[in-house]
Amino acid sequence: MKKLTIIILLFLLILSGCSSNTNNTSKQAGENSLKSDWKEITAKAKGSKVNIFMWGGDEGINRYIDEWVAPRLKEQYNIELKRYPMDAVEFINKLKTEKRANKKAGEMDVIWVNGENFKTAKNEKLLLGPFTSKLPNFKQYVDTESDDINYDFGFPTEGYEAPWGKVQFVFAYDSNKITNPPKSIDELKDWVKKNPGKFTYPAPPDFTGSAFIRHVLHEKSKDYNAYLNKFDEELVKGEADQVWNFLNEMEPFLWRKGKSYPQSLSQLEQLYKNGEVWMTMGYDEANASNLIKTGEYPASTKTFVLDMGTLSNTHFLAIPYNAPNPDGALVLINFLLSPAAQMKKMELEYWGENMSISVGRLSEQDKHIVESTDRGPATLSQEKLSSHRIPEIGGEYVQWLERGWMENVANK
Amino acid sequence: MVKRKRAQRILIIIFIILFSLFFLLPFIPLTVWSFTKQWPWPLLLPEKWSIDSWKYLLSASGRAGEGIVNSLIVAALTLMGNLLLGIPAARTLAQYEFRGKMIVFSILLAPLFIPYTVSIMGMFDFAIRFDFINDYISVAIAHLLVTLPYFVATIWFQFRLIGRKLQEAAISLGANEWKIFIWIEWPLLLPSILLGSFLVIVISFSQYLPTWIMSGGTLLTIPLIMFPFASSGNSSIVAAYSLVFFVPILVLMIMYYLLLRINSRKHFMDRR
Amino acid sequence: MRLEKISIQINNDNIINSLDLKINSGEIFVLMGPSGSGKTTLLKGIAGLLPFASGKQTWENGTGTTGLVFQEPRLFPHLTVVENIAFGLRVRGISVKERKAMALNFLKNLQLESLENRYPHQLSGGQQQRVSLGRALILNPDLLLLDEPFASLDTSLRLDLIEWLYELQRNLGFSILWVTHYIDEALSVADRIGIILNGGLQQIGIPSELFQKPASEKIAQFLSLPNRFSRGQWRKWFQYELNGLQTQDRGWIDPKHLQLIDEGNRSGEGNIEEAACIISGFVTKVRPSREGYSITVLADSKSLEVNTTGWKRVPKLKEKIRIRVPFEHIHWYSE
Repeated sequence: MKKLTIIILLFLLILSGCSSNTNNTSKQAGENSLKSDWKEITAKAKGSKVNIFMWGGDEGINRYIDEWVAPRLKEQYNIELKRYPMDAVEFINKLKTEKRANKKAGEMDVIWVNGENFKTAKNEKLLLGPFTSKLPNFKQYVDTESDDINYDFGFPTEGYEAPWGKVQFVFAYDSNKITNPPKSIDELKDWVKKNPGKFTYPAPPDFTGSAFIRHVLHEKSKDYNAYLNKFDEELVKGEADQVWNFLNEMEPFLWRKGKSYPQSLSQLEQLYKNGEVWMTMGYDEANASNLIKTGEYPASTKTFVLDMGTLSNTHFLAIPYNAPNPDGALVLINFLLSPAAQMKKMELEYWGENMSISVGRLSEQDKHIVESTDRGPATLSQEKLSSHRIPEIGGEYVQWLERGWMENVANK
Repeated sequence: MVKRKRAQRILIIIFIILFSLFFLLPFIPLTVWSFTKQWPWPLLLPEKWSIDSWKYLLSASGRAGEGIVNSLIVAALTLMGNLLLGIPAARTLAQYEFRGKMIVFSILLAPLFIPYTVSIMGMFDFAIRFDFINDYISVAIAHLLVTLPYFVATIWFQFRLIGRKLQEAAISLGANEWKIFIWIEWPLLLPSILLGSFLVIVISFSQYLPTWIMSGGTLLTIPLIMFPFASSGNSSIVAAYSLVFFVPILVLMIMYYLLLRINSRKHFMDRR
Repeated sequence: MRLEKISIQINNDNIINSLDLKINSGEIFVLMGPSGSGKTTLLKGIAGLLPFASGKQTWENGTGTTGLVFQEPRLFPHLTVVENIAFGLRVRGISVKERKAMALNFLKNLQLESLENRYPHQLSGGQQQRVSLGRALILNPDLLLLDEPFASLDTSLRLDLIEWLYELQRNLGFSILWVTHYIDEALSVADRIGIILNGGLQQIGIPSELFQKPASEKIAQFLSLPNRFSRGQWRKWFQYELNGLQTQDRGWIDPKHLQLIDEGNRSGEGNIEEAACIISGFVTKVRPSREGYSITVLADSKSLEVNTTGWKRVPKLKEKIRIRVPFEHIHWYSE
């Protein structure tokens, strides 16, 4: 037995020895890179490996990273890019655990975050620091003054994250079944009453369902802009009843008479694909076009925004405090903000998502390309989208509303 | 009598067909799903077919090869650990009496009864503390904890059946522990070791959380690659990965039966 | 082989207690004892399966080897007859070819020719036990240890195998320490017999000695010697002082030496020799035996076993009967 134990231990030692570890000084390395100038950063990043941790549930997004970004990063900067599929909640938890254990050298160089996750990460000092000012492409192409760059669900970004893309909430409908889509939340209710069983929304706290009820709040509230400021429970308490009343009035006419709600967006989309409901929604203006292309949505699917506008938000890229390769991370993020990468991301072939850089700052040639980019048959025009945008409200309000929905609509 | 025998045989054949259907049936919808994006409920077959999922699987993003290789490496390491630790443990527990034996036995089998989450919490701590250990090894150690009870239980039973009597006979003929193990116990244990190993590999293959925790989500085995699609409801991709996932298991199953056949034929060649 | 002051413990219990034993070369030493007396433990100790807590084991020529055969064959189920027999040779590192030739050659001794490629489950019980013996014997042990080797076989097969093994032993000349609980088995092979009780050897002797002079009442009881009575009881029946050593205060007599005396036939009564007595009693049990009848008689509230030869007359139950006891056939022993 003793001999055996020794053999096993030896074996473990040898194998653990094989995994030569990343240096323990990456925290310092990170601070150093934030002090270096761009030339030094790119020079140091050469020949390194960068790990990006991001949600991995979409083929198009995965392929964009692996098939388009990775080979170009290798070619232009000699950096090897590796993508790890992981939900944001999970990598934030991972970072928290690592921070608690005082782990100096982590595994994640770049993470894809926004909203609540970013707020947690920044508050708990899980991020490297303000870095966007280092990035040439950020300085050149991003509209650094705009609110949707400087605020992430009402929380100041302060350069701790760089905008990667923008999405806008749209409703999708089957134009064979609906000729005149509603233009406001009230019209939607009328339509639902006339077409019982043909509409529903995912139960909050599902991301999409939660966004849906914020649209109700937006149109019922006296002053929606007040929600962009600091959390004030009295404010939301006073106006929430109208939201609950509205949703409860609509409930008997929902799918399955509102007795049950889809638990996720994918369930709602499934209902739409099966023709059980005639309308769906999503925080992605190009999603419908994507799904028409793959044959999952009927070709007659179209999208619409409300006259008073729909929510839009920006999602970001950040660097963890213990990134093993901060230089590589900076180079990668800078590359992802380049017009070429942003325009490619817009193509339906991969992702079909809106750019985070400003069209106005592009060269004439690129502007042309953007204008002629085919974002798919169901995607609304850039003009229509950007003129119907409303900002996201703070995370506390979002959570308050989600809890309120459970109490006042689901369990009433 | 003849009639009765024939009826019996027909019953057996029907049973075998039903049994194999039971195993094969899930593969039919999996295969169909992997070739379509949409398969609404009442339809017998989808209206539109597509090979997108397979194309994705085989693309750079799909990482099916990387997943299988990682799964296999981890499973092989886990199996090695099981063989090294499980066989002596099962032998001791089956054939020797010592104080606190029941306690050791219950601790060893505990992962079978203790809620998964409890041991996962322990693993989190372990993962951080033993961060310097190579991912393959640390994941295999976690898998070892999960699979060892199954392996030990399988082997333990066979050791129980063999008992101490043949050992004594071999000792009286001058054999030492090692020779007894190699020449007597190993061949007699082989069928149950094969079964135990098969169990270990299949269980190791299907682990998600222990792999995730111990590697920090960076060791991409098939379940880890598959999971994001499962959670975003992409049935087609999940179906395609599941089929890929079954290939090594199927190969193993065939290998298991072949080895078993060879083993039993060697022993009972001229059974009359 | 000589054992001196051997003790063996299992779970801190003394199973064998300071035991001395010497087995001469070429000898068959039969060890008898009730179950739980430590026979198997002693054999395992000698074979090296259990450690001695104290004492030492020595051999006439410095070193010696043992072979152990258990009550069950304990053949290796995955090996053929030849492979089983050759196992010990394999352990000793003898090449495949050589050991196979040796094993095949040995089959003749075992009367197992042409069965070499069978697996144990394809053999009869007797054949299996012979393989088991062959497996031990092929190593030419100086001392063969047998632990009730034929106990699980039926009688006729058992007798055949005993005879066969006896012949084999006389031919090959190894010594045997043979544990059995069959008296007939012991008598048919033993050069000497040892009786083990409570972890110690109580008596060692040639078979006849053992029966004529059991060392104690316990041994007499273990040997199931019939008609054992105290000297006092015998004196009551003989009605005069008995000569002999006063320390030997018990005596037994074989049932076949007791004679029934018919009420009708008083011919014998007249000439009772000096050294005989007549006991009267009632028949309580009658069973047929090989030679005639085995009768149990109750006399003075003691039971006596009487054997009659011939089947001429069957005593009836509760019949009053008289028994003639010849003094010279009583064997005296100590309490």
